[in-house]
Amino acid sequence: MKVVLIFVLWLVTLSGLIAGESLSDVSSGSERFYSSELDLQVEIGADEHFMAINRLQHWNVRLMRLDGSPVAIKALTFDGGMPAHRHGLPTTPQTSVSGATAQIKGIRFSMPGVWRLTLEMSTEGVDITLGLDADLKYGQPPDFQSADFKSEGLIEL
Amino acid sequence: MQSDQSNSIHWLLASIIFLLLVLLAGLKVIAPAPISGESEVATWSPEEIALLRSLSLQRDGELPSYEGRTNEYEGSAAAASLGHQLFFDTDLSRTGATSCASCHQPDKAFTDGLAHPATHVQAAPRNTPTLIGAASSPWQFWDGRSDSLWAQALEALESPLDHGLSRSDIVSLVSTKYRPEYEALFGELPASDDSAEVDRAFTNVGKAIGAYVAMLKPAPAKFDRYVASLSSTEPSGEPVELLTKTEIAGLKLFISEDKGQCISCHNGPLFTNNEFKSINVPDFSGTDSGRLLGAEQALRNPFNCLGNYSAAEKESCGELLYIKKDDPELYAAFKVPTLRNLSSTAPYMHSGIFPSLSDVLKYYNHPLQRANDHLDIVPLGMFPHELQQLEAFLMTLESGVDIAPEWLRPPNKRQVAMIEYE
Repeated sequence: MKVVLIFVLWLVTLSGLIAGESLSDVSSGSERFYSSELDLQVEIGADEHFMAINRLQHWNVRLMRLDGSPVAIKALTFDGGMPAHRHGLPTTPQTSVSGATAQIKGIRFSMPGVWRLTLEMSTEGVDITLGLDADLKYGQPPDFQSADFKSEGLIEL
Repeated sequence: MQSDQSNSIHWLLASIIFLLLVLLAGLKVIAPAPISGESEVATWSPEEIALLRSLSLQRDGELPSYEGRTNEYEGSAAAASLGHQLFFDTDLSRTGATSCASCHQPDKAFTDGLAHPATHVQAAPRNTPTLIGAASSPWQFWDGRSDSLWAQALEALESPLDHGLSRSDIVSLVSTKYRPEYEALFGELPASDDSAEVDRAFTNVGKAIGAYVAMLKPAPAKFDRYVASLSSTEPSGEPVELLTKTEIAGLKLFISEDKGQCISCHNGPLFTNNEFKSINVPDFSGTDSGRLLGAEQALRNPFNCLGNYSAAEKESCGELLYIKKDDPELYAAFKVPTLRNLSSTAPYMHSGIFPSLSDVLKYYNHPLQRANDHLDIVPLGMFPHELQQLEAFLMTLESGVDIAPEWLRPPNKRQVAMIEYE
């Protein structure tokens, strides 16, 4: 009886894994990027379709010190495109900020391939730019090939 | 003597080897042949199989539909039935000779086989696109100036280049020919010429047509069956339908990131990312601004997702809320079309300028490049045999429409008095 129960549980777990794989583009997801030089970390994520190809998605952005304490974002701009294909984003995402978090609504990646994304965040005393190169492929998690932090102004360390 | 013996042994060995070779060759000849003559079992990486599944109709079962966001009658059999009748009704035109089916002919995958409709006399006429799978596109028309099938139908009904009717004309026709069906679905027809009521009835006519057109989904094609066989974990006992060597070579080119690059824009189960791209295809005037104007028109369209006649919650109108506009990239950019059922939809491209698929592929090899133009493609530089392989693969996407045949024929005509419009 115990063996049967274990087998059933194993089957349920396996089917869950299979279902999880097939529905991977509707799942929530997030990614963090760190700069020890600037004592900053940025988390980007979405409740649905994070980095999925051809799905409209809304991102949440959080700016923090490396110890996790929040850093207020005064303004955020977002842009991107595919340098290899010489085009920009297929939509016009809209941004809003609230304390240490920001929202970018209306992002869509219409093609597989490398997308160059830029988040410019104004904070008290410093402007921070995070440049990301994300390679998107079907059936695979996003591959963030590079994450470059740049800053202008003084930052309180 | 020894030499003779040695010669005999050599001959014997040679004979045995010869017989073995013949036997092996014979075995090869009589071995079970692949299912279709020159079929091939190709090897694909797990990543490639994931990519092929993303292109296949079986991936998630149902195709997503944008029509249902704004059209609350999508999925209603009664609405689709009324829409079916309206679609084939030539009384729904000023001349009494034009129906939706005049340009969207079922036997041509709902196109008309012409570069552009004969009645389209504007400077830059456009080719009639297929309606099969159109509900899965967030944008209608080559420039995407409508965001639903019903709004697209309403524009065609009013356009002097198509049906050429006023809203009052249409309500009058429905009142004469389809009153019971209409009122069972939408309530009473307007009793007066009140423009708000007429607009509402006009919208309902579009939504009935939209409900019918939304049913026109592509049937699984040879390619879909092939992909299903790749990802099947439980052999069904059915013979696996393989693609030929040429078709597989074409498929590999199609998904190749450095060779064909087709997958960049022609992705998803309908082989389109529903974007607008500029590839400098010649038109008949060189003045068609494409999506640059289409995006503006989509925003202004009173029948759009955000309009008063839409059933959608504002938040679900993401395509319109975050629309790309006023961008030079959109000049002369046109909707990336589906690649399913291409054998029935010639001629090709927004201007219908290429009579054959091989002409289209040759163009991608040597696209028109003008200084300062934004161009979304690069010359492919493929060999002629590779273009033929691509074309062979594209033909594996032929399937027609997944619907009972009676929906593809005009319904039984009613006997009514001739409608005369002023």
